[in-house]
Amino acid sequence: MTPENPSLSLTLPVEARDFADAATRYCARNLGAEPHDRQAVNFSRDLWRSMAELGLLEISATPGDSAMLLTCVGLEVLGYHGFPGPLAQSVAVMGLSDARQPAWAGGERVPTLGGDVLTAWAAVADDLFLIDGDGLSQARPVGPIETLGATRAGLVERAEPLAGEVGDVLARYHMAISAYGVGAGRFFIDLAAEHARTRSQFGRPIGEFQAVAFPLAESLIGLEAAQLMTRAAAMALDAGRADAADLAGAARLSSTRAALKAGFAAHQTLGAYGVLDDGPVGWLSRRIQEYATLAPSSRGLRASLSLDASRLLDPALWREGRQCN
Amino acid sequence: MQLGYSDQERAFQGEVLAFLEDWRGLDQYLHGEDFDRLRAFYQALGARNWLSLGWPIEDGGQGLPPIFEFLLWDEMAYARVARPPLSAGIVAKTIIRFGTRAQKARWLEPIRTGQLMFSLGYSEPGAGSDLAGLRTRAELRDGKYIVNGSKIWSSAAQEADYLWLLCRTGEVDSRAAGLSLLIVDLKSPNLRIRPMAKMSGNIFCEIFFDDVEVPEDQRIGPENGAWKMMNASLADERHVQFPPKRVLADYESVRDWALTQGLDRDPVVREKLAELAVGVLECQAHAFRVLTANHDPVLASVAAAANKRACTDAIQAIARAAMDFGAPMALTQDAPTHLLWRQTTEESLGGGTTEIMTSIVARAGLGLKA
Repeated sequence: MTPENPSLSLTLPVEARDFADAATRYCARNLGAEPHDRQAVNFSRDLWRSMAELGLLEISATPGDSAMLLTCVGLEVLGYHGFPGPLAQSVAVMGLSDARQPAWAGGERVPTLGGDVLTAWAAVADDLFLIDGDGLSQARPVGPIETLGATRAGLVERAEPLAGEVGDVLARYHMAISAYGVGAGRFFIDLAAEHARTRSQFGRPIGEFQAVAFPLAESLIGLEAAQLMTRAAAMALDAGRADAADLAGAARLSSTRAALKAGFAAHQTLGAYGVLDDGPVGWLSRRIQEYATLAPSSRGLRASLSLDASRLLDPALWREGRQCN
Repeated sequence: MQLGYSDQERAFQGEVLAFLEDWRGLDQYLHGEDFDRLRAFYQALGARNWLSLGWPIEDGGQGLPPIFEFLLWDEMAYARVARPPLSAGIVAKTIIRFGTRAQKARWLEPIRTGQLMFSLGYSEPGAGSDLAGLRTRAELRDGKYIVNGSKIWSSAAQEADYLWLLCRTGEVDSRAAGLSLLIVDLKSPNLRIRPMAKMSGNIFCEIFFDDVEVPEDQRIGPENGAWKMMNASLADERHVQFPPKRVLADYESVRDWALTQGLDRDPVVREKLAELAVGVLECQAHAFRVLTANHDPVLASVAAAANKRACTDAIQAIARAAMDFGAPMALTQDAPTHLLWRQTTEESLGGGTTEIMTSIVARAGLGLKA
């Protein structure tokens, strides 16, 4: 045998790196560079339209070699900055054949999606969708309701049933919520690690104590795996793999677990500052917890995920030449 | 971004799977009892040049990228056949990097063909994770090192031919700057081995040295220069340190056992199995990161530490969850859960403890000096 270049590569394609850079610049411009700037930014129509101009939603609806991978990377950046609004929900419904799709892509109409009567962002959305045991349907608003994650949620009720592939919508939703969680989790870790490096107690930085450092390191380990799984799920969606929904579901479970762990570790690392109502962590950790709890929920995923999902990252499942370079 | 194997890698994986058909059931991976058959297995690997896949061609190897060794030992782990032998890994790769021409001529060929088994002599009763504090001493007199002291936790030393010994040749307080690596014949006079049974059924040993003589030409690399060599050899072996298919094999054992028992009808068990399946995927993801991080030493060490931590957490979670499913049959010898529970406990100690691995991630990954 003669050696050849290793086949595995985790390097993102150039267009994905460029898109991530553009999303980072967008967030700095529109949400502020510092966490305390970003936490004060609420959902608004103008903000939503400016995000749509970035092209994220349009890309997510455009069949292409790397459309979902680009979407995934963009959502990681928006999650890191805690962008407010029904991002994952919109990415999910952008997969539907619907006359309103151009308006969603341009940010002129705002869709959202839920799995139960309580739906995130329902109070600000124009178009409501519901996925439950009866399939996909449109929904009607019943009224707004305050929730833990402050997502401008609302109570909704089932309206007209819709034809369409529920599995595909769910797969897109799981991938998107997972990517957002990966970004948010990384934000928690960066914030807490910076504090642990600079805050001194007992004569040294608190990050030198393993009791402080280890939960952050463990969260990082979880997030690194979740990020790769989420990107793999996006690639599986791009490739039309039949098992993409299971991989996206597994990625979401991994991401949710890691992001919540990172959030709780950040709360603890920042001490009392970390539990202030207007502190740097709670505004986003509450949202991540809400996404984990709302249907389609993590609990529901654990009840339905294929027990063969353990093999979904087997390199043998990827055909030669499917790489994105 | 590419998550599939190349044609060449896939073809090699196919060869490995075909070869393994004759060896399934060897089960050394968990028990370590039939050493004659294990030797025969390593010699069969050697006959196919598979113990030297990553060695340079000029040293008798195949010159292949690390992924080939990964593929080999990943499948071995799934089949629970064997772990990578110390001889063809750390020992040979250190000799290749730092040995003299004469040492290469003497040691590499019998290692390449699977003739020699080595045991690792690093830990001591007073020096475990903090190896720089070890005290076993080697003094050079008339062309021979005279070794005194003791080692502990050396796996399978009672069956091995040689010991890869880390010992102090510098001043008592020289820490990492006073350590050397010697190859010690385990049948040397004045060397005594005391085997100890582990919970898993494997054996590790305490080794006592009482004026044991070691020829000077069995020191590899410069005197007092072992620390740098050990770091280099650790880096050489990162990609096979903990194969993800070991985790997959454990998961499938427990899942299939639970299904056979009808336990999945309990929604709590069902959800736990799904959670464990996600843990398996996380380990595969970490393996990808290890395999693709070779270009950056810091990234590579963080990826390897994260991989070890994730994999040991996962196998322990799998084994311990099985005991929590509420089926007393999990406790019996016939259930895979019995052995996995016993065996997985040691995996977070050997090859770098969970605490050391997490510390590496905290330091190199987050800049926290914990």
